[in-house]
Amino acid sequence: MAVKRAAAKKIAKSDLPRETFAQMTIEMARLRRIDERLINLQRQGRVGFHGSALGEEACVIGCAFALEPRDWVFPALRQGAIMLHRGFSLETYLAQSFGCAADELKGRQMPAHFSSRSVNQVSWSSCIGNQIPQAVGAAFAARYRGDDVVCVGFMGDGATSEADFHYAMTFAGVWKVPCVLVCQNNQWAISEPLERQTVVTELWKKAQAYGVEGVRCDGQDVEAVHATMRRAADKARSGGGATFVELLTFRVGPHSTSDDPSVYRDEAFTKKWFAENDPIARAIAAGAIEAAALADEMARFDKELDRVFAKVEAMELPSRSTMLEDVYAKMPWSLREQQAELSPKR
Amino acid sequence: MAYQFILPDIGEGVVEGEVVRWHVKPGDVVKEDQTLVEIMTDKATVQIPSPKAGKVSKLFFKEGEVAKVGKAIIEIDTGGEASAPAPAPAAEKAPSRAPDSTPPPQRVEVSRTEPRASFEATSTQAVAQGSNALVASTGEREILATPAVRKLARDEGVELQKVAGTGPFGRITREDVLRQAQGGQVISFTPPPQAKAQTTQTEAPVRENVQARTQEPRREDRQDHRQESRGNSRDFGREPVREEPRDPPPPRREEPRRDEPRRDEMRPAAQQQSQPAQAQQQSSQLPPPRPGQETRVQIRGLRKRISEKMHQSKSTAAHFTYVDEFDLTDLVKLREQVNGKLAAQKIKLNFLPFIMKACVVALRKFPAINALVDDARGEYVMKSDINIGIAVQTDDGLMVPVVRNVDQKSMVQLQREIETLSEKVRRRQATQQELTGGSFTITSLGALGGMLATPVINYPEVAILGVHAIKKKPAVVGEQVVIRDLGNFAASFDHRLIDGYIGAQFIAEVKRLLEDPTTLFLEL
Ligand SMILES: Cc1ncc(C[n+]2csc(CCOP(=O)(O)OP(=O)(O)O)c2C)c(N)n1
Ligand SMILES: [Mg+2]
Repeated sequence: MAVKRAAAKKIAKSDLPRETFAQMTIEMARLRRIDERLINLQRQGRVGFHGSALGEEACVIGCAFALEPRDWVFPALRQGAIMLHRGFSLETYLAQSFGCAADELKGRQMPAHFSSRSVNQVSWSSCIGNQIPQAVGAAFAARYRGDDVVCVGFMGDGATSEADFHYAMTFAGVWKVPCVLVCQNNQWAISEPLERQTVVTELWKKAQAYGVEGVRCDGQDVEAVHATMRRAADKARSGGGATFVELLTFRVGPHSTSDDPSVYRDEAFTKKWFAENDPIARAIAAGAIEAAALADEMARFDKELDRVFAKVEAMELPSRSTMLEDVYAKMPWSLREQQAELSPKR
Repeated sequence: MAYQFILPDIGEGVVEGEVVRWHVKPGDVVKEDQTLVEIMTDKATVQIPSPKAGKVSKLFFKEGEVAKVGKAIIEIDTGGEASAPAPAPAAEKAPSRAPDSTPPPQRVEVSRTEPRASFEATSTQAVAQGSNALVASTGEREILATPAVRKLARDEGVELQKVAGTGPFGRITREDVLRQAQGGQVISFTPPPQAKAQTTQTEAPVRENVQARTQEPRREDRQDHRQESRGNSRDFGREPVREEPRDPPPPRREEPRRDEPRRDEMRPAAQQQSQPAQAQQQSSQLPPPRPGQETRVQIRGLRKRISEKMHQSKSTAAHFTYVDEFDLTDLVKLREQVNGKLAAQKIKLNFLPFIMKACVVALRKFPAINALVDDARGEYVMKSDINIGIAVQTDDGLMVPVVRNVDQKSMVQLQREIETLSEKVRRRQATQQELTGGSFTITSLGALGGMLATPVINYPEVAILGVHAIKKKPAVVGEQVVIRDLGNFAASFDHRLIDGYIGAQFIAEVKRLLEDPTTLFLEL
């Protein structure tokens, strides 16, 4: 199988302090742990769904570190953990997958669709590509209002074949808005390999057609992702317009808990690829952190996860009256009537 | 403690899975998250990790067997006592919410058959349990009804608390509300003898009285509901706007309902006979609004039905109206003669039986007009029976009782039937049968008949005949201007099916027969 290796041009790595590099590695490892745990919970029937970032952690964490807290993130399926980097509570985050009382979204979203206004991370619609024109529009609004923010829209490779990609890129080019459109090219859209999705498999080239700068970066190298993303964000912030960033990576796991890739691809290849390109192993090899130190860190984190999972799993569901909230500024009679009829306890 | 692991929905909407391979056997000690089994579903083959640490005590399926989602597949002895606080999966907690459940000391801890993964099962379960719990704790019934049903209940003035839901989990359906609104309980209501006697004496019509009995206690808030819902129907999300004068109380109107005839039919005979004469009680006369205010009344009941039917007719049938002036001098004379002879029988024919008979002859000649249109099937239905609807004005609005088989009845019979039917509809006692089945309609405003109107077809019929005032007027006969009894006849036809030429010929035929009534008798 002719899978592109990350032969991307590397943008000069920034002068990243070692502690930051170490912290990035820790956050990548945490993300992997969370994914593993949620997948297990799904297999046991304790959460309904999960989509993991296995093997793609450097893309998510590298971007998270390159953005300012005030910047807006419009994620796709695999970028939820940017919220954790931004200081969002682990408990509230995991509660989302259970849809329990602590879930800020009150159990209304599908599991693994993390978002919170408090950290400027927008809800994902599940429909491929919707979030990218939203990011462009938000960037337009931000510039109009004079807000000093960059809006980042994430997508997979598959999304570049969606109409929304065309709209987003067209306006990103025409308006020169402060946004970065990040394509986490994991070379699969569920069972469809990249070369069957599009003829232009070097996705960064698509940007040229829209008059948007396109760059490609090794998505397994967290430092490179960070540097590329930092540069694109700085450019946006300083009025230089949008950048399309292709992060070349590989979907190591199944598309989601509803998928079984062994049916449509050679998993021996996946194994081999992952062994050679694991972003965490790479960071350790590059001296980000001692393996033992990371292991200690993870042991602590596992304990924290044990505690948090036990807590959120034991929680009540959101009270039923929450069903009636948040749609109207002032509740109409039809909802008030129903709320009054609900038992106060539930 | 024995823990049974229930096969969850491991894909999206998976219902069963084949056990491909067990990674453990009875007697094995397993750690939490250790792989137990490989399960193949129609979506994926997945490894299932153990939610608990313990010793495997039982496998419920052999390799190659198919397990249904929701069935236990393995039992693990987790050690410790049943009361040991195990971090229970969320779905296991649901039953403990029922306050009256005093769980017997449990030997087997079973992960519910509705794991979180199957959203539907979990939520339905929760609702069911929630409502039971509520019944147990407060004795009050929790109301399950969709927004549309709630709106309907408001509009109909029905209190949901009093409606027994027949839907899943006792959900109140649209039909439940309508049944209540139509006095579902009225039917079984037998008034005590005393009350019955009263009914006979009071002036209120029976219909109102019955309704009042069942709904009296909450009439006031019923009125409130209607007002508010009117506000809301304009803009669902907004607060109701009250514009009506609150003092004196807003106009109240007991609307007749669609099912009225049926309900009347079911009314005990004694009540039917006790029908008082003051139909005006249910009159639609509303007090005029005070200066600077307006009166708003919901378009309901019969008025609503008329409005729907008229709109349907005008927006479906391609109306054209054909008018001619009839010289009825001979008919007027004939009628006088006939009525002189009938005086002894205390019956008086008006013009309608003659017009109906003329129509019978004309309809036989032009059967295309004695017909209905079935637009749903794109068919045109010619009728053999000649059933003529007669438009009758009642206090609540226009109604059209039907005189069946007009061709087979004598003029006297027709006159009697017109009278009884008119009286019945005015009292809202006509049966469904008496109000349906027409093939042609005649509308007459009698003495008030004016000069010309354009009648609206009683859809799905295809023609209607309008009779105007018959008056003495100057007319040219030969070379002379003489006084004659003249009247205009205006008929509307559905031009989609009836061409102008046919319509005109039909009216010319009716005219010929009525202008020379002797021919009418020859051809009957
Ligand atoms: C508009 C739309 N079409 C189809 C789908 C079904 N679908 C869900 S994920 C997916 C593939 C997405 O692939 P990609 O954009 O590469 O993202 P990845 O999951 O690989 O990160 C598809 C087709 C969808 N969610 N929305
Ligand atoms: Mg992809």
